[in-house]
Amino acid sequence: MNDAFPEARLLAASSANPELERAKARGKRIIGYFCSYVPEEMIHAAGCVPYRMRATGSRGTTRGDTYFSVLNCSFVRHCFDKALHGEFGFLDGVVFTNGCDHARRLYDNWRDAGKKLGLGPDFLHMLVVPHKVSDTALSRYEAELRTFQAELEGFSGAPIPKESLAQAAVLYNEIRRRLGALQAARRAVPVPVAGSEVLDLSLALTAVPADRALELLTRAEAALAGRTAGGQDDVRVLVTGGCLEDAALFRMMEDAGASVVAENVCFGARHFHRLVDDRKPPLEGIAERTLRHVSCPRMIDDFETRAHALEKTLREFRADAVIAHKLKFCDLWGGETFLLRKEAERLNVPFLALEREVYGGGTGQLATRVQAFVEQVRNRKGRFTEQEGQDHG
Amino acid sequence: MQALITQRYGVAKHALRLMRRTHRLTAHPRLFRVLRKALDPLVLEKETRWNQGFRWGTLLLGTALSEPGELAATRHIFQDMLDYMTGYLEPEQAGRPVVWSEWNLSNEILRGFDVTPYIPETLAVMAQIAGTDCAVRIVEEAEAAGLPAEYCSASKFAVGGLLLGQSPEPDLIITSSHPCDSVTSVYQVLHYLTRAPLFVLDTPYWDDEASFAYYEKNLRELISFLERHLNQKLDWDRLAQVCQNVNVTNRCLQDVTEMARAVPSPTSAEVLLFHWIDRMACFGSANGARYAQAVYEATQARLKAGKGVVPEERIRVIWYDVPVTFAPLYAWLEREFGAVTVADFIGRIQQVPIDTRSEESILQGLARTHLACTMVRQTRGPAEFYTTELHRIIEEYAGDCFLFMGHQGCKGGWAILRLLRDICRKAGIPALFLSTDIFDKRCLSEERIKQEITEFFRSHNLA
Repeated sequence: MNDAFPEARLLAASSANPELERAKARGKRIIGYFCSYVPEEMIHAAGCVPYRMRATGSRGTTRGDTYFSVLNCSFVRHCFDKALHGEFGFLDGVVFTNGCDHARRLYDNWRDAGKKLGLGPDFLHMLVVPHKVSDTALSRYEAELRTFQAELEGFSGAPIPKESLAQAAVLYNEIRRRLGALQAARRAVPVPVAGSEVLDLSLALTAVPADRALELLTRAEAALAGRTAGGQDDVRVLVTGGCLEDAALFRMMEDAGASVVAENVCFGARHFHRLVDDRKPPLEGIAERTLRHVSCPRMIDDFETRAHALEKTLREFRADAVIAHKLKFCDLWGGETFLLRKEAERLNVPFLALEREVYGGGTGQLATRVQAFVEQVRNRKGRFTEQEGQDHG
Repeated sequence: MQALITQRYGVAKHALRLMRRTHRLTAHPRLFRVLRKALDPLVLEKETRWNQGFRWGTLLLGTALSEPGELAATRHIFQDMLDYMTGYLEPEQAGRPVVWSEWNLSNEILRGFDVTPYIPETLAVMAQIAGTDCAVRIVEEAEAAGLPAEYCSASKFAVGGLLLGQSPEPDLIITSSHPCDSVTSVYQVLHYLTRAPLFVLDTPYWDDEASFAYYEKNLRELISFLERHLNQKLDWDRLAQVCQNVNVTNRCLQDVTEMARAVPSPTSAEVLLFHWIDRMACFGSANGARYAQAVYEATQARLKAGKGVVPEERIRVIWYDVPVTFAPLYAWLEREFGAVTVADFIGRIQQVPIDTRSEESILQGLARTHLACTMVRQTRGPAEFYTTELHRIIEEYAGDCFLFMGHQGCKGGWAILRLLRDICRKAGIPALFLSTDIFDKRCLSEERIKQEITEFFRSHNLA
């Protein structure tokens, strides 16, 4: 059985892939979606393939910039540029959310370009996600999902029975559970699998049909036995932040002598966190899981939960440091970085904040900062180990 | 300036002194008018060390507010601001809990409790009174503490004010998910730094019955939150009175908004923008309603007489995104080009009346009127919430040009640049898009803004 990780890396390195082509050849329709607050199991239950939108392979933002301004984040500009270049031609529909001020305008600009420039596809849906995790917000979100279900039914031309939703929830629970187990394996010292490999796998899993995702996971699990992907003395870092659709940043950290043992990024662990409670009616369970998975800073009333999750993860994965990354002009992650730095100070954990563009720009500077930080943490770790030795002696 | 920044409440106390002085002058509107006219040449050109104290008075009071009727009306707003500021500058004496409320969140409900409301972003206004360098210093304090530079400057004022001891300690904080990511984010920061209990009103995206009902439910939860934490019951009779004041205010100011369609325009956006400060701090006050009635009457009198607000109206400006609060641009536009801002993004009132006959109807009305508030109504939903209003303005206000003073913090507005540009192009209206900031002159200076506007007018044969 082939190791799944090189294949996952290939799948993660392009936006379209042969798996999608094969699915299309089988008559499946592909629906792109923009955020971890979109329940992919509902798209699957409608007989379509959910595809997490990404700007992988983008060549620039020239066309995207005709709609967005330079004050908008590079992820949306690259994505929209690709759309205007026809590189999402394989999509049959796109689902947007009001995730942030930049991403939610993709819905507006896409519709406008549809009217003025003939940009497809026709099925464009805005899934409104509350900014709170309260019970009131949950029931509102569930109502939004009912509307979404009706839209999907209209699009696919067939009702989505409860049983199909329940089956889809079980299927995606399995993907999440098994990927979660792979992620948990990184508690070991040394790690059996690199953070960049798991991120590649996460990216691949959201770009292929569910059956292929399971097959990839099976091979990844099989490859894990007896495998190491780092050293005993690696600096163990937890990476948190917003949009990260390319494992290059993780590889840069690994090249500098760090092991990314845990992460909480848009395309990574946050996407797969928490399972649907299958004892509940399917839509209710899906709504609860999706709204209340480990949140993104767009959820205003949930920082305590996020801070608690950070502390727990740091402890469980024996992380030595936290690296936060954000895209330029992202207010949400800008504020969150401020808060995370405070939390890191409270926990006495070294903290590095990186700001970057989704593609290109300042890679060398980032690498230098990461390298210096890793050395700093390694020295600190050495001092602690020395101190501990003296104390025990 | 340094002394103001380092002294507890130094900025607000300085602003309070100057506002008291101006408030006294408003009792003599004709004398005030003469004084203003005499001072205009000294303040319009640029800010200097000696004119910064009274420059801001001129900045607020452009030509539309210089008529005796409007000048007299400003007294009510100054009174509200004095009450608001003394309310939190002496909270220990009053012994009332301090509740922070986000600046775009309509906070009538707070007025039904015995609390001292504080709107952290109002410091941005007060700081301009102490001079634009003072304002920048507060923003820099927040940035130096690690806040992202791309945050809305109003958000940076909220944090900078807290860090510099310019704001009262909150007992509770209420906020919303509108109008932007900066607000969504900064109130988490404020909650973290102060540890005060936080309540969030979640703003719906769509304008439909389900959205209104959801927001109404949020309002009910807000009331429960306040009652629980304050150990008080909401005074519904007082809230009903506040809502009646809101109705009067909105009705009058909406009429003022519409009267600006006339050519020449009997008013300008300044009149509405001046009330925006009151809307933030004291919405639903009797003084706010008195101001609205007075400016309505003055505007209507000019409309009936066919009289424009400036002697010779030459350019009708549609002004989008935010005003620039660190420079007297409206007065400068009027004086220099005979350019009147007939419609703008922030000041325009498009409201729904609140039925005050029952608790149920009050909450229903409040939900709808909150969601129709300035910035909230345009920013929370799809682009059509922006563009439909702009289409209407272009059709009805006979604008000669469109000035988009794009605020750094309004990422959602910047993201629909193309849509706005296309509307103007289709309507044949020349458009100028400037990247500026509502409170922070570092982004684009007054001089540069004036230069850009001048060149724009000249290149389109408007001046």
